Amino acid sequence: MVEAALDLLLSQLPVVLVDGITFGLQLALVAVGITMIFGQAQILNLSHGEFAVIAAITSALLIPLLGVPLAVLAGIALAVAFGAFVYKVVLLPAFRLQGENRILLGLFLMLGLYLLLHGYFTNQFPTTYLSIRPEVQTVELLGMSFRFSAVLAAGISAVLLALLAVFLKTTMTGKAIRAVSQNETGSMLVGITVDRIRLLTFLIGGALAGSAGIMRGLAATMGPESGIELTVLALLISVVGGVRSVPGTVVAGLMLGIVYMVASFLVGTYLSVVIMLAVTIAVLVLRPQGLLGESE
Amino acid sequence: MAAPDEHRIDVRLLVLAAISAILLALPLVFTGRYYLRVLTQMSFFIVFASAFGLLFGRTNQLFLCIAALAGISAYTSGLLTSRLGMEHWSTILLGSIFSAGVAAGLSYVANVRRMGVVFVAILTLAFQLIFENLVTGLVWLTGGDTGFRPPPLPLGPLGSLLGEQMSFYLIAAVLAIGTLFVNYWLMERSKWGLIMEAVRNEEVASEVIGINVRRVKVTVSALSGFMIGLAGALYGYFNGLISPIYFSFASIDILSQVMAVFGGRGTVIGPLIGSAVFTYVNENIRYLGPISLSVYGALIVVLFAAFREGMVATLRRWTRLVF
Amino acid sequence: MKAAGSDGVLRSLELGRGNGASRIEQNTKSDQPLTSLLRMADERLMEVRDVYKYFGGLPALNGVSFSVRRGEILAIIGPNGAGKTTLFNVISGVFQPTKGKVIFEGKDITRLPPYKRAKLGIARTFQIPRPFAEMTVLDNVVVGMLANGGGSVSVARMKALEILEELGLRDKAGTEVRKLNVQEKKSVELARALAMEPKVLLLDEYMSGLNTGEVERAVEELKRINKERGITIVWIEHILRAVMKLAERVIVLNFGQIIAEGKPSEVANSASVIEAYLGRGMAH
Ligand SMILES: Nc1ncnc2c1ncn2[C@@H]1O[C@H](COP(=O)(O)OP(=O)(O)O)[C@@H](O)[C@H]1O
Ligand SMILES: [Mg+2]
Repeated sequence: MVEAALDLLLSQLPVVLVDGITFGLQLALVAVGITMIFGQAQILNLSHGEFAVIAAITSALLIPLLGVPLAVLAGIALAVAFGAFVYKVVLLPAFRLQGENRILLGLFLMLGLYLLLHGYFTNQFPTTYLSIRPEVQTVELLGMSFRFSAVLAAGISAVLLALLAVFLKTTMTGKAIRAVSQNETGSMLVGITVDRIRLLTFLIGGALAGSAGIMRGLAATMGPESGIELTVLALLISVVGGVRSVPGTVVAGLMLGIVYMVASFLVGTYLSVVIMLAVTIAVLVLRPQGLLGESE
Repeated sequence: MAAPDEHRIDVRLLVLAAISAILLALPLVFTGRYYLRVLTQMSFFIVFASAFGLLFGRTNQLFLCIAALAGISAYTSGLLTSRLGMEHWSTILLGSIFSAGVAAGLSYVANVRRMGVVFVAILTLAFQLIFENLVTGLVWLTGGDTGFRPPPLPLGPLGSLLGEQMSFYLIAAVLAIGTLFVNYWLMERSKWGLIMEAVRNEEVASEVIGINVRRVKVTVSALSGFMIGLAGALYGYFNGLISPIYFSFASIDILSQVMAVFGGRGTVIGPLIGSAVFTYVNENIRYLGPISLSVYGALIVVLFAAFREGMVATLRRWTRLVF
Repeated sequence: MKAAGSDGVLRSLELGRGNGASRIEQNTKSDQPLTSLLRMADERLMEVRDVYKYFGGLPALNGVSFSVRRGEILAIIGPNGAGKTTLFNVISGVFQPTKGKVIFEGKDITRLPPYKRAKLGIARTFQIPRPFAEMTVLDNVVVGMLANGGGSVSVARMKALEILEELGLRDKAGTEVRKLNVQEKKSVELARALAMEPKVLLLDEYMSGLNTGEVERAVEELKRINKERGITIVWIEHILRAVMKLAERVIVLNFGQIIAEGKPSEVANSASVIEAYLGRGMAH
C-alpha cells in the first residue's frame, strides 16, 4: 500500500511540487505580515488569515459586476482598509497598555476578531467561493504540462514578495520598519514616528494577505472558512522561519508548502497537519532563539 | 489576596457551602430533561473555566488547549472501555492522569524554554490543533469526524434510584463543587495562594526569594489537567458520543475563556458566575447557528478591552461602596 | 549568630592582611599558613572566584575574585556600568557566569538555580525594585517567609508584622505595593528579604534617592540588621558618605574588574580609585 502510494507520488511529483510551491508562496505572503506585525507592535494577529477571506469574498461578489481585475483590486483595497481599521480601532485598548499586558490583550482582541469574522463570513456567505479560472488552461515547462493558474499564482506571489524585500532593503521607510522592530525607543529618538510605521505594517500586512487570498482563489478555491487554515500555517512559518528577512520567510514557506502537499498526498490532510504542527512544536522547543524573529 | 482578616475567610467558606447546596438543589427548581441537561453542561464548564482561570489567572500560563486536555481523557477512557472492555472508572482515572501528564509536560517545556505568553499560546494552540486533526484523521481508531459511542457509564444504584440524567447531573455537580473547594483551599487557604500570586506578579523576584517557579507552574498545570481530564471523560459519557466537535477549541476553550474572564480569572467563584451566566446566554443564542461564534468573538473583544478585572472584583467594589 | 568578640578579632586580622595599597586580586590559595586556612572555613561565608560574564562578546565582569566574611558589611562601589549589578545577578543565580565560580559556605553553588541559593541563605534586593506589585505589603513579606518553609500562614503573618514594625512599614501593611513610591518599594524588598532569614543580604543601591536625614536612618537600620540579626551585608552603593560610615571594607569595581579593596578611608584615598571613579563624576 505504501509502495503504491509512493509510485503514485513519483508519477505525480512535478504537479504536487508545483502545488506545494504555489501554496508555500501564498503562505509566505501571509506569514511576512504576521511576522512584521508582531515585530512592530507585539501583536500576535490570529485574525490575519481573515484579511485573505475579506479580499477573496469581496472579489468573488464583485466579479460579476466589475470583471476580474477591478474586483480583485477592490478586494485587496478592502483588506488594506481593514488593516487600518484593526490597528486604529480594534487594537486601541491594547496600545494603552505596556509589556506583557499589551501582548496579552492584543492576542485576545485578535482571537475575538477572528471568531467574529469567521462566524460572520461562514454565516453570511456560506457558498461564496473565489475561483478565478483563466482561459489558458495549461503551460508547457521542461517538457511537462502544468496548470497555468497555479504557475501564474506562484509567479505573482513571488513578484510581490520580491517587491517587499526590495522595499524593506532600499527605501527609507522600509529601513525604518526594520529599525522600529529592533528598538522602539531608539527609533523614536531618531525621528521615526512609531505610530505611522505600525500603521504602515498593518496596511502592508493587509495587502499581502489579501493578495494571498486572491492567489488562493486563482490556484485553487478560497472560501469563507479558509482563513484560519492560512493563519495557522502562516504562523507556523513565522515560528519555524523565525526570521525578519523576507527570503527566510519565503524559504520556510516553500518548505512547508511542499511538505504539506506531499504529506497530504501520502497520509491525508489531517495527519499532514499533525506532522507539521509537531515539527513546529519541536522547533519551538529546540530552537535556541529567533522565534518570530525575536531574540530571547 | 485579602488583608489579614480572619473573619472574611470563614464567610467565604459559608458562601461556598451555600453555593454547593444551591447547586445540588437546582434540579428541584428547574425540572425536566432539558433543564437537567443544561445544568449538567454548566457544571462541567465550571470545572473547565475554573481550571483555565487557575492556570491563566494565577500562574500566567495561557493554555489554549483546554478542549484537547478534556478530549485526551475522554478518548482514552472511551477507547479503553469500548475496545478493551475495561472498567469505566479506572479508565476515567487513567485518562485524567494522562491529561495531567500532558498539561504538566506542556508547562514544563514552556518553562524550560522560558517562553513568553505568546509562545505558550502558540505551543498550546498548536497542541490543540494536533489533537483535533489527529482524532479526526485516525478514522480506524476514533471513527474520525463522526466519532464513536462509548459503552454507557454504569451508574449502579444511583442510576436506578434517580435515573440516568439526574445521576449525571449529581456527578457533574459534585465534581464542580469539588473543584471550587480545591481552588478555594489552593488560592485562599494554603500558602500556595500567596506563592502563586507572587509568581504571577514577578517571576524573577519569586525565584530569588526561594520559590521554585517551574515546579509551581508544572504542579498547578498537572492539577488543572487532572480536573479537566476528570470532567472531560465524564463529559464524553454524558454526551454518549465522543467526537472531535465536542472537544474542539470552539466548543470548549472559547466558552471557558469567556466564563473565566467574565467571572474573574484567578478567583474562586468567578468561573462559577461566568459559567452560570454564559450557559444561560449560550442556550439563548444557540438558534443563531454559526453566527453565535461572532457573538463570542465580540464578547471576547469587549470583555478583554473593558472588563478585564471581572465580575468578582466589580462586585467587591460595589459591595464596598454600599457598605 | 557568633560571639561578637571572636568575630571582632577575626575581622581585625583580616583587615590587617588587607592593609596597604589596593590589591587587584584577593590571594586565595597557596601562600597562607595552615592555621589561617583552617580558620577560613569558618570565617569565609562566600567567595567569588575568577568570575567572568560576557554579554555578546563584551565583558561585564572580567575576572572578579573576592571573599565575604561572616558578619561583615562589605560595600561595592564603582561607576555606572562597572558590573556591580551583574555581580549580584551572578551571585544570586539570575545569570550564569561565563566562567568562574561562586562558593557559599564552602559549597560550589555556581550551577544552582536562584531558588536553591535563596534557601541556602542568600537574599537580595534589586536596583530597580521588583516587589510583588499587586499584593499587599504584608503579603510580600509573608510570601518571603513561606517560600522558605516558614510554617503556617498565620504564624508567618505574625512574624512579618514584626519585620514591618521594625522597618517602620507597619501602617502600610494592608496597602498594595504598586501604590507605594520607589523608596517604600525598596523597603518592602528589604522586609521581604529579611523574612527569608538569610545569612547574607545583597543590597543593590538601597539608598540612592534618599535625602541626608533618610540616609542617616538607613545607615542605622542596616547597622542594626547586621548587629542584631547577625546578617552579613554586601551592599552596592553610590552614596559615599554612607559607605564611609557603615562599611567595614570596600571593593571598587571598574570595567568589570576590582581596582581597589580595603578600608573605606584607604580606598577613598587611593589614586586609582580617585582617577577611575571620582574623576568620572559620581552623580548618577
Ligand atoms: N542583561 C544584560 N544584557 C546585556 N548587557 C547587560 C545586561 N546586564 C548588564 N549589561 C551590561 O553589563 C555592564 C554592567 O552593567 P551593570 O552590572 O548593570 O552595571 P552597574 O550595576 O555597575 O551599573 C553594562 O555595560 C551593561 O550594559
Ligand atoms: Mg547597577
